[in-house]
Amino acid sequence: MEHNINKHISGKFNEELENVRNHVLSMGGLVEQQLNSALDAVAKGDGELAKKVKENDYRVNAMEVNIDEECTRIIAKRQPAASDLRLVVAIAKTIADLERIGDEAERIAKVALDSFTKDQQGLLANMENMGRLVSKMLHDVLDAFARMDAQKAFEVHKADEKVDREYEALTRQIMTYMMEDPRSIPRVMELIWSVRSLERIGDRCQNISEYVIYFVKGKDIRHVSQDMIAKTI
Amino acid sequence: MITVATEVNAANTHKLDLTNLTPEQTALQIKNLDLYYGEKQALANVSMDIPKGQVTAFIGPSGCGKSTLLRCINRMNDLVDTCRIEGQILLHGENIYDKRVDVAALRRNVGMVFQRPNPFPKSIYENVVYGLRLQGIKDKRKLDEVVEKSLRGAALWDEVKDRLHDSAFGLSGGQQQRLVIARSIAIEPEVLLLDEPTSALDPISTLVIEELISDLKDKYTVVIVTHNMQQAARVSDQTAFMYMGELIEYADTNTLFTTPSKKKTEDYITGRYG
Amino acid sequence: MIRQWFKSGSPWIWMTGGAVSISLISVIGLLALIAWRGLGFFWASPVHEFHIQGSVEQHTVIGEIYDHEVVPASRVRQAGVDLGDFQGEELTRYLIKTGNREYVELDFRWILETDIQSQSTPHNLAVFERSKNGNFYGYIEQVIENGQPVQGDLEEKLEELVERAVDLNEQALDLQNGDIGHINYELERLRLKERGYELDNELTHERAAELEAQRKALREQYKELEKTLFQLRDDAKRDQVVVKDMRGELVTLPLYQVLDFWLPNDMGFFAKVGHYFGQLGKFISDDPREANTEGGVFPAIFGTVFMVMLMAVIVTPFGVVAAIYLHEYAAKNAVTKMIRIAVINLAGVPSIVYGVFGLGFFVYMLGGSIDQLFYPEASPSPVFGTPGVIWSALTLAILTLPVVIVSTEEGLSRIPSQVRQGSLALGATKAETLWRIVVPMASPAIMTGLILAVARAAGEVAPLMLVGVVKMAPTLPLDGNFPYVHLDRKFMHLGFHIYDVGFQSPNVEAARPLVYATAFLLVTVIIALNITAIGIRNHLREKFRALDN
Repeated sequence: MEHNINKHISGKFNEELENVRNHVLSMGGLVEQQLNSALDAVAKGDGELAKKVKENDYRVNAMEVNIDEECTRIIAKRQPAASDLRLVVAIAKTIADLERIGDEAERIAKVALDSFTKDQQGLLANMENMGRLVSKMLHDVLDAFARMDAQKAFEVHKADEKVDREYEALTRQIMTYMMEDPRSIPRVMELIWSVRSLERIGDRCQNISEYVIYFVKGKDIRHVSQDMIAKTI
Repeated sequence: MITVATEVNAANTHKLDLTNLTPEQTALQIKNLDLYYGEKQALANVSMDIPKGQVTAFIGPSGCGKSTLLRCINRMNDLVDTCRIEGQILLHGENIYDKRVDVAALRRNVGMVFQRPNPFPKSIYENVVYGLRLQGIKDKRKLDEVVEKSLRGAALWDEVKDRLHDSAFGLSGGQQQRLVIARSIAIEPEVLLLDEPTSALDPISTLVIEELISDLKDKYTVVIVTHNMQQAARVSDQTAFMYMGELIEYADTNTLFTTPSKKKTEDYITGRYG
Repeated sequence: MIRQWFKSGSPWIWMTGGAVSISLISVIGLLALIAWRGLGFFWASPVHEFHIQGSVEQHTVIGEIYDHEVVPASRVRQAGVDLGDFQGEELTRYLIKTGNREYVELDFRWILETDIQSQSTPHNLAVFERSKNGNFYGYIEQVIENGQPVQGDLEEKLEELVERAVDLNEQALDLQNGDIGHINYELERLRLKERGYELDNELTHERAAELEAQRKALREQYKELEKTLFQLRDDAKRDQVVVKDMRGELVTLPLYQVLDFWLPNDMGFFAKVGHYFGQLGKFISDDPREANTEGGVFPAIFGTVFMVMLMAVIVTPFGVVAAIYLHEYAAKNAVTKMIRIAVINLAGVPSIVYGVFGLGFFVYMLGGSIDQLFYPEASPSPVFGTPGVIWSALTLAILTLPVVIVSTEEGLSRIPSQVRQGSLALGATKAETLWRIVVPMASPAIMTGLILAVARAAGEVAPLMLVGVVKMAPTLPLDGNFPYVHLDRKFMHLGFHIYDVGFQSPNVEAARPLVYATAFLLVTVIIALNITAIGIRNHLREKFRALDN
């Protein structure tokens, strides 16, 4: 079924839905930028950039509050039904996840403020690799959201598995490193938190992909096996 | 995880399989109903089963035939000279359009409440017992009993118990509509048809009536026509969407209002044009 | 400028308002005219004594100034009247009501202003209201009680004796109309019974004897009563009054002919007001006298109201039932439309046509058949086969039927369909819905129809002249003799009374005020009937207020 949010009899309603969707996309853009900056900062050890990420997080938070309000207003005033209702619900949930992603990006950026030894630089490189993966996931899911593309969202959903595997590998690697050099534990702990953050971002992207599928297909696919999801799509 | 989710779903919505109801679950069966006003076809091949003890709502744009369909159920369309009906409506497995059917008896069994409150120019008491008096019941005790029971059933007793013999016109619009409902349930029908019962009422009275409707379904099968989609969503268990005399979609209300399967339904309930 | 004024709508308002004002003024003017002319009649106007210089001799004229007019002097001269040295262009002449009908050739006479030598209003001039020959004007000279002249205050004594005589006359009349009338009625019934037996060949000797016995008993009673009656009458004839009239002669008036007397020149304002209402009361409650030119109009009021009510009782069910059929049951096709148009057109048929129809169909056909079937013993004198109040009511019922049908239909169509459907949805049949809901709710409209019907019927005269109204009905259609309501009787009617008094009276001048008074009374009766009906309608309207939110 195609979704045309522009064909409401009420032009004002069209406008409101369009606005809130655009706001979500720009919030997504901002979060994506935050994540990429954080990853860049870590990769380059750029303390300035990391600080900037930290400072920008309030903008993400403010956007969440704004969009949340808009959703509440739409529900109260328009009593949306069917796809409109699903859109608003999906947006309300999506922005919560985006905000958390923003928080995680901030946490990752913190790593850049620490200085790492040469050995540890290798770990950072591996982490950067995982970071690219997650960043692509975020990009894709936002893309799927923008186009309301269930197929693409499903691909993102599946991609999370890869991130999980990467995460496991990386944790093992870090743990090995810690066992070898117990003095580095405090610093590496920061690193492990960042990796954990990346993994969480992956999960949240997966959540968002579920919302997109919910909106498009009207089916709740949370806690359902991949095969079943594939069937509904 | 999957099984738990299914159980939760099942607990939240007593989903009936509307295409395959057992005889015990069925109140009414509408089979291939066509209706013509003169040359104009107002209903085209409508088939649906209305489950017992539940609220079924008909929604759709003006002139889509939802009121016409409702009026078929107690043969109110007989009053229109040019009206011609083909197909069947089964109540207890019997076609109500059969020649042997006593229309008055049918209407006693299938009550109806109209758009505007239409109390009779009599006292509150006399309004409620009107149907009983028609049946020749004169026993004062029995009548008193029915009046109290019906007014309680219509959530009106406490407001009018001290002025049962005052004119029904002294009541507010919402009270009048509840009086009309009390009048209908006084003769204990099986099915209660509500034709846009709140379209002439203020929002608070509307809520009172809606609350009443959800109480009524314990004892009666309720079929309601409404212009107000939110109302259909609030009060009904099943919703049927009609468009240009056709039944487009008929599903349980939760499904219809979140994930309708037909594009016309989607467009209508989200307020889009074609 | 003008254009804008037209656009503003004010000319329209002025036009419509003007139309309303003109209607109002004409109605109020009409009512005021008849009220003034009619009601002024009962006022005790002063009695004048004029000394007139006639062509030959001087004489006296006593009477009330009835009317006056201004005439050109030249015309009077042309008529051969010598005006002497009168110089004016115009002069006034007065119409004097002199009464004393049996002693002067004219009880109304014109006198010219120039002829009047002197004019006075002596306080001891008396007016006698008599049961025969109209009023008598003169000076009380002597009161004779039981053959003996009375000493002392003549007026006081006379008042007492007049009261006594009036009282005795009333008793006699009551006896005559009541008990004696009853016996006559019974005797007539016995005769008819006997005749009925004869016709059926069932008149056995026992029956004949029994009837004879009954008759005898009644005759005995009759003789008794007759004796009492004569006694009362004789008793009433005991006293006389001697009056000096304007000719200066003494006239003896027997008191049993005197109904009342008063000294108008001696009365104060309040006494006159009291006298006024007394006269008005008598006008409303008394029987007419002297070929309807004097006395009251009670039988006419009674007849009018009775006939109109009877008509209402007949026309309402008929009209309502017909309207229900037309509106509820008849198919909505050309035939129904034709019938409806025909019904409305019936309202436009001249009423005299209805009278002819009533006489031909009701009186001769229907009444004649009833007489043949049920009253063979009365033949050849008809019972129902002659104009009567029932036929009048029926004729007017047909005349007003369209009004009732049209307004009932109007009322039926105004009942919200939701209310009908509400009743049907509770399992009521169409007939049950009609009788329990629709007709009660349409009752205000039915009443409106009835109001219009009553207004029309109460004012109708022409058809009634053919089917039941008479100049003077000896008995009312309602009395104490079984079966109490006599629908076959003829009756009097205010409208016809006006016509009769105004155009058929031997004494036009004397009758003129009565015409106005009766007209005013007729209007009052119609208004009273209407107000009653409107009151009932408003009550019903309140009760069955439709659901117009």
